[in-house]
Amino acid sequence: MSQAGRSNSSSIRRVTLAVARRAAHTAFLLVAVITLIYSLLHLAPGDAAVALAAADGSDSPEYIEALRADYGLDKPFPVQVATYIGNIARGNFGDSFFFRQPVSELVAARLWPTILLVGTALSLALVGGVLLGVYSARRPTKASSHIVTILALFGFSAPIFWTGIMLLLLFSARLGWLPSNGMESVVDRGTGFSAAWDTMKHLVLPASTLGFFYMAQYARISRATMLEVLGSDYVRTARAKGLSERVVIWKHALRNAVIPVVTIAGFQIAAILSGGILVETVFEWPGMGRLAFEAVLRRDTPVLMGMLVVSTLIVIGANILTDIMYRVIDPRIRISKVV
Amino acid sequence: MSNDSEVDLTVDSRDRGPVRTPMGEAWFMYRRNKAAMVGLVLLSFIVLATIFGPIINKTDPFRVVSRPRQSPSESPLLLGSDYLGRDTWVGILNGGRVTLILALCAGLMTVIVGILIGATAGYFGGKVEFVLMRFTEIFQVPPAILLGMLILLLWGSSVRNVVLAISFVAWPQTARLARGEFIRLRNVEYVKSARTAGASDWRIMTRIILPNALPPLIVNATLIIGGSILFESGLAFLGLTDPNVITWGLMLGSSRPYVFDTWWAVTFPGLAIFLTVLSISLVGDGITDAFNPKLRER
Amino acid sequence: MSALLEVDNLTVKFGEFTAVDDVSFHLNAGETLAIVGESGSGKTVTALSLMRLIEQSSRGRITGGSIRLNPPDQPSLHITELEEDELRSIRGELISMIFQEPLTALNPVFSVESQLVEAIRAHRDISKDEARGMALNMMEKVRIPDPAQRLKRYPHELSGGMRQRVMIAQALALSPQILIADEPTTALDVTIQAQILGLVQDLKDDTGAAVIMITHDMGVVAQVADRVVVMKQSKVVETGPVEQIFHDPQDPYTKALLAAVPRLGSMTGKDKPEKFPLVGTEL
Repeated sequence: MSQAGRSNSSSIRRVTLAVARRAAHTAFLLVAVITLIYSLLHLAPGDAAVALAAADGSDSPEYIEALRADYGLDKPFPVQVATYIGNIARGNFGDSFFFRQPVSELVAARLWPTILLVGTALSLALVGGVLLGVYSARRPTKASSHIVTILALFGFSAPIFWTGIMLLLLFSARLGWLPSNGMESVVDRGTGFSAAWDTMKHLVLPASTLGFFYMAQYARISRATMLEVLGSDYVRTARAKGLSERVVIWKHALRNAVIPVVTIAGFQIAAILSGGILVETVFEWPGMGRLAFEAVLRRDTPVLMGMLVVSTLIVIGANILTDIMYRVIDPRIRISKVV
Repeated sequence: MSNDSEVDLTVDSRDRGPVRTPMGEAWFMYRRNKAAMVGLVLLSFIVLATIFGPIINKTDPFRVVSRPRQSPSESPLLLGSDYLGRDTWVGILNGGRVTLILALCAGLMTVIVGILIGATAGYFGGKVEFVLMRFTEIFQVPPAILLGMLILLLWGSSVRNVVLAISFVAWPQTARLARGEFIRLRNVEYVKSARTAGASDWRIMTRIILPNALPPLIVNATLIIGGSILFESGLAFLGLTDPNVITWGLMLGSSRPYVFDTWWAVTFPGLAIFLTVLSISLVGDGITDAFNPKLRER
Repeated sequence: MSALLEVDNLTVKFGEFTAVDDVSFHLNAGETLAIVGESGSGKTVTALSLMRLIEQSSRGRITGGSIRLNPPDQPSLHITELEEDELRSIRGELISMIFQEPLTALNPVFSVESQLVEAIRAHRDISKDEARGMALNMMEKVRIPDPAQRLKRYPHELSGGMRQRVMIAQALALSPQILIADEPTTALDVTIQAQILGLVQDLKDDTGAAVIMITHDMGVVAQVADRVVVMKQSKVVETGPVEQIFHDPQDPYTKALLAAVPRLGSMTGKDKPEKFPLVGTEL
């Protein structure tokens, strides 16, 4: 008992240490990325204050002077960065020149649609990709391997916004099955269930566009690992125990086969957000991507910088989440490996 | 790894006749790969078309040459005209030339920066590696397209800045790969013996390790070039590139609002991007397989 | 009375390659049968075929012969002709197997307890708590110290010997008629090897199971076997009681296998070490 107690307290210490290291790393990344973003503004040709106001410099001198004070632009670079980080820590991401509104409010209003879109696409990609991978691994014929490989290659090679436009032309313009833009119908939306249904219909095309791209990739990875896992000793043991094939595949094999998929998906969060920005632009989905596009059209630098900071937070948060998931799935790395 | 494959290759070639050099052997393996050959032929065709197309057909891609919005079937032009009456086919030929040159420059720059940083980190290890890899990591957190957008918004949309923006977001990928390769190779026997013989670090890195790390880095370069085409098209689609320099992405972006009237002006430039990136990927896969036959089953 | 297990003219192919060629032997209730041979002689494939694990796990095919299981007080079962769901009720219940590599034979992502409980509940309609009780009981039987604690552990947190004990616990949990042990000690340290063999012997006496011990080690054969089947290049070359095999081997290959084992006193009168003769080269 005393031995058990000792090993418990030492594992608690190890967990605490791991969490502390992880927290330090997260803090470092946050500060470093914000510094990077801010240096882009600082190093840009021309007056940073004018860039923050509007690149055409049409704004009033008073407004520009106010910006100069707000960002501490007359101070040395480290002080400027510290001011900027301090502002962000207080929730002040600056003000949008065009919308005349705090960036934080603008981004907050667009956050939910983006999470809905990216979340749906990612679930679609993970579930669909793994199912496809398992299916083709259980029938390891030339044809099934080729189909998965070709889908992955196509997904890799087509510009995602073009795929979106093609789907739009086919399913919306030609067949008229699905709405072409936005998240909600202007008329006939209804309430409650009918409103949710309406949103779902709007979601289908953008989510499939974004999800398909990654689904093919995950199918390819899970197929390869599934093939490996199906030949492993522990799958043979599971069969020797008299377990049904369903339990062997969907419990014993799958749990091991999804580990690399989760790793890759965690790595790709930033890329998926990038794709989401383009997809949102195509389908006029009222999320952060659409906001970024509007910000660029209006040369609204503070909005773009704020979005960068927010998406950095999302990526870091998602990475921590993946890490936790990873640990839940695979006990071997629960404590030992951090960062 | 390259040691292994050399051994393998000689064994393989014994039952096929003459012994080949490693490069010859790789080409032999490549040629047997149908998908890779299709990719190579397709890519050669695209490159030749974008080089010679604009020489043969000297039409200015920005000039209005016909009635606007004419579909390929109702227009004398091969692929119809866009919303202003510009020739889509001429646009694709000229846009392809710029797109390819731009992607090539971006790819080259990315690979050079990536190898410099990754190789230094991998070769020296320790604190140098720690600092460099933390630095690399910073660039991988924010979504690439947003970083690219901010750079072009602040710096301006010139072709040079587009190349810089692409390299700025792409180099960490190469750096990570190069680091891995240099870690793998820094302690192999022939590197140790070179070090014992008094070769300088620079010499070991460039003359001994780099050539052995080249196959995966070449494949990485093809990936980066393909990715650059996609990334540029994304930036152009969002309206961030120079509107006076025609690229496939620019054609897509400018015709996008009229897509329901002129589907061809969007479909065909996109198809050009798709086929080009696809052929580059096929070539890259072919090179991987040619240098590493054992991985083919993956 | 017929034997517990009868294998007649069994042939197994992987594509064109014949891994098991016309193999026949039988196993009596309560005895230990050793199948000996070099790696690649077909002994593991034979063992896997007895549970029909060869098709899914290794993509082999049983192309001929029969395997008949005659459990006491039950009708005979023609294993070669059974459907998948009938086979499932045999695996783990009537025939169990432990493998060579305890490091990889347990699923790394599930706890010891969940794997044991699952094996029990696949065949017994009992609650999780009851199954846990059985699992704990088995952990004690295979002499794992601090069993309640160890049940909560994951395979990577246990030593190789400990993992093999878990495998044995899992295999014997439902008191099967036959335990197939495929080189159960090869991957373990020498001191652990003896412990595991002793444990298998004790539990065999305890439960009355018959054991098929697959091994390349004549030392193991001498220690545990009642009868021996010698295999070489997919074929059986000799079968007989262990005394006969050791004292009066008939086949030259069996002699060579025995010659490869250093015997106490065999170096008397020699002042230098000598090379072992390689099996097959000196015949």
